[in-house]
Amino acid sequence: MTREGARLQEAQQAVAWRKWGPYVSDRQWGTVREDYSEDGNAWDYFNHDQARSLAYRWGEDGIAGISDEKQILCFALALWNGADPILKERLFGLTNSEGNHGEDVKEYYFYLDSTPTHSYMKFLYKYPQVPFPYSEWWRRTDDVAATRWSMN
Amino acid sequence: MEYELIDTGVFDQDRYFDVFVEYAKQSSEDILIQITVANRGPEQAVLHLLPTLWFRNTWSWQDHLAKPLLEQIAGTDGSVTIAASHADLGVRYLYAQSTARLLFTENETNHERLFGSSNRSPYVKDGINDYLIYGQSEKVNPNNVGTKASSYYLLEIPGGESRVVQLRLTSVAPKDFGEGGAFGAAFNQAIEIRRNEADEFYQSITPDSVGEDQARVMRQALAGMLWSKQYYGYNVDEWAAGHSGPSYAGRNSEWIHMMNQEIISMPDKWEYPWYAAWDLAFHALTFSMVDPEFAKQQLGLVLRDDYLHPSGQVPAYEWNFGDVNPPVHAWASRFVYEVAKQSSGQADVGFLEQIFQKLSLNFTWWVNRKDLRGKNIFGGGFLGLDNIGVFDRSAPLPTGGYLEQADGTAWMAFYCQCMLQMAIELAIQNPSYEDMVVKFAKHFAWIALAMENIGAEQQGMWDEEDGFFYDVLRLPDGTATPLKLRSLVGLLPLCAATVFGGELRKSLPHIAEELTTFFQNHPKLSRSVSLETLFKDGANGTRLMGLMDEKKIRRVLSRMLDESEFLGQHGIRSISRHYLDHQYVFRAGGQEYRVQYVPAESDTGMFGGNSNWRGPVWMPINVMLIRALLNLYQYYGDDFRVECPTGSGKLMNLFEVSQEIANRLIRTFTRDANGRRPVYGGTEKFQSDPHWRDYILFYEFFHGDNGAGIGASHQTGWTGTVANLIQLFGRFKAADILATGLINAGSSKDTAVLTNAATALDHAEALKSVSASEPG
Repeated sequence: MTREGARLQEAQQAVAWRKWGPYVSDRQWGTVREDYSEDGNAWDYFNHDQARSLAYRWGEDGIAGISDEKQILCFALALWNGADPILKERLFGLTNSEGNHGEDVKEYYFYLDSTPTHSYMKFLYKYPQVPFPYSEWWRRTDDVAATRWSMN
Repeated sequence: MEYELIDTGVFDQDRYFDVFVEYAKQSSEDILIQITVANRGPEQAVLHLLPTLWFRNTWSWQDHLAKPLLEQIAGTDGSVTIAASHADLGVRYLYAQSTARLLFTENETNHERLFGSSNRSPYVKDGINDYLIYGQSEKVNPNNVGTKASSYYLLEIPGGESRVVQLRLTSVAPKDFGEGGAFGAAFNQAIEIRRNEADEFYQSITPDSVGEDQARVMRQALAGMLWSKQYYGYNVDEWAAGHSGPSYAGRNSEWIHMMNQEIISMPDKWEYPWYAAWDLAFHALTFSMVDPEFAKQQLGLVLRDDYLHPSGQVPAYEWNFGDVNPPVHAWASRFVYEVAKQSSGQADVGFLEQIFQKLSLNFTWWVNRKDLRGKNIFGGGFLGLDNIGVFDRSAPLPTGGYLEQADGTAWMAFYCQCMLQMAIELAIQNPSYEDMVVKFAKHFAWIALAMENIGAEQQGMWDEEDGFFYDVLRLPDGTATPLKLRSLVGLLPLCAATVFGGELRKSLPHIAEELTTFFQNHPKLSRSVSLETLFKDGANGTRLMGLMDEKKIRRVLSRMLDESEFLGQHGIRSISRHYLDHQYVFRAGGQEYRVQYVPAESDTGMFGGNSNWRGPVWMPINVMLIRALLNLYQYYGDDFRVECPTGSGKLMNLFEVSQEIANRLIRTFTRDANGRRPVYGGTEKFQSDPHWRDYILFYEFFHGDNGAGIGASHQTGWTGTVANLIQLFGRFKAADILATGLINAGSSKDTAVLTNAATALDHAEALKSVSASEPG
């Protein structure tokens, strides 16, 4: 039996090997849970830009984050290239109405490895040194807005 | 195509950092963290790195909960240390290598910025952001206490070089570290050991015949699956109260019994960071390759009373828990039960019983809610296939009337088959389940008959001329019209095919007898062509429960395997490519509805617009089709051959057909002869740059012609089932399956792998057969 196989067995009995894991979400803003709007438009209730200022109620997000299974304590990366207008604390993406095909994350990140008990995990995030083109999409979005949907 | 980050040019001169994060558990409460930052650019660049620790804010909404605390304490030599104290969790320490500075703030809302009102605390969630970006030193707490804290590193990295930062999140207090402290050689060695153990683990589940690149795809698919676990908290009653109090009647107001606070597998933690019922069932198939216990737990979770609706409905997803997803839970549960049984050597009958009982409620919910006329013909709405229909199948129809759905009915036939398999397994050990064996056997027969027979009096779902199944639109004036759009909807009846080993007669002969009498008393059933395979031995004495006779199977397959219709270079398409140049047009009530083959992104806003079922290849249905083909193969054997691709003159048995489809799916991700991965299409950097080309993304769906990934980019979720396919077809050959049944095929040195693969085919060797009744 492999050592990881043994840990899976131990997890059945005494050792809480799965207690800590990659349990922090990649996005908590724009979810139904955090939506207290009147019209139920969760995507527009608050956006990525506001997310850094609003304490979430139901769950947390971050880059390559881990937490305990009740998500009491979280750990994740924040980064700054010295050029961006904000600290990179969470992955950027467009909301359902901003994207030309609905919501879409605009970052490159890769889940490279994990054992089932999360005894080993590896993640890769690619962070540009030049200013992250946050505003690029808002402009593009305007361009495509007119032709976004052709309801048939 | 979608405008992506790479298209903005920010990566053009490689002016970016690769930030690798590794976690290694020294013990279950001692996590070593290593961050390696590589400057891929030509010149020195500065990265401000802020590994951050914080408490989820529970105290603002629940007054009785004490506020937890992060504070700087004296650490070990060579580290700066944060102690994190929480009433339930206890104390944890984050050690950071000593070049770090600590920055403290609170995980509290910045009311001033968002709402223009005053803040309760001067330190708020974006305090570290404002300190760093704007130099506002008053935004972080000089006393080094708070509920959110970063270890701040300023890394100056020359072009082409890397820097490593180490941290440790642990329950081990400073005084309990020995001389080496929290870091040093022991730390490095521990990471190396866990890394090697991960290699060892993945080697143990990868068949020898699987090459390096396929093994890479398989491992990263499983990594994505495991990384996509998430804490999911949602107390619907409390949440509703936060809207407009007890009078709240909006979204999910009928689901106030729900109190979710568990770790759940997400389809995509950015794009779909909420569970989805049928996605989760597919995830369980893949999780069972590495962690059958977790897979079981996930399947049981959504059937618990704080998830399942009192009516028996399984919650679909948070946008509308009341939506209806295809009922694949029974199949996935039996699959995982079998895998767990084989890998642990013990049958978890308790699990099967619990699932079976809950699913009996759910099955009855379907029967009572989705069979509008009580005819064993089912609707159900969009059933997970978003825009596949001519209309939005979940909305009231523009024509009035209702839809009889080929897929809805096929799913229910399939559901019956899976419940029957479970009932047999349970009844062998506990006679109180015998009635349920009879119930599901009969119920299946009635559905099969309904699907076959309604054509006799009115227009049915099977179209003899086209050789295909269609949804039928029943109009208020009593007339019926088939919606002759060839899509997955019409392939799903093929999926309701399950082979049985023929052992019911041995283990439960009185039940076999009862079913024989039942069929004798209903000549309509015993004469049904679709039920013929229940009464006639197939290869090695197998029997088959399905919805189609051989003739129909051949006709449907001839379309499915036609490259100008469903068979793409990278899997079975969601609608026929025929509609590229021949739009399907349906006219009703003065309106014209059109469907065209659209192989990439959706051209409609239906269902949010980001999931397109009008052309692309979707992994879960392909997996269902492969499963069906393998079941059919076990019944029809080597002699049943079809032309594949249609018109090629090449004849294949159904195992070879399933393998052909699986290979096309797998080839989406692996390098082709030119070293290119179809999934990355024309994105050159992903194809050729050594720092990109071997990192695989598992997209939501794939271009119907060239396999390029589309939609959510990290939907390892059900696209992760490609790992099952690699393992399965890496292990099994056709002869093994026919000769011994899959459960026994292959060598015995790797039982868990074998069984996992075996169960992927849903082979019933280990279970028993219902196919007992010889009519007449």
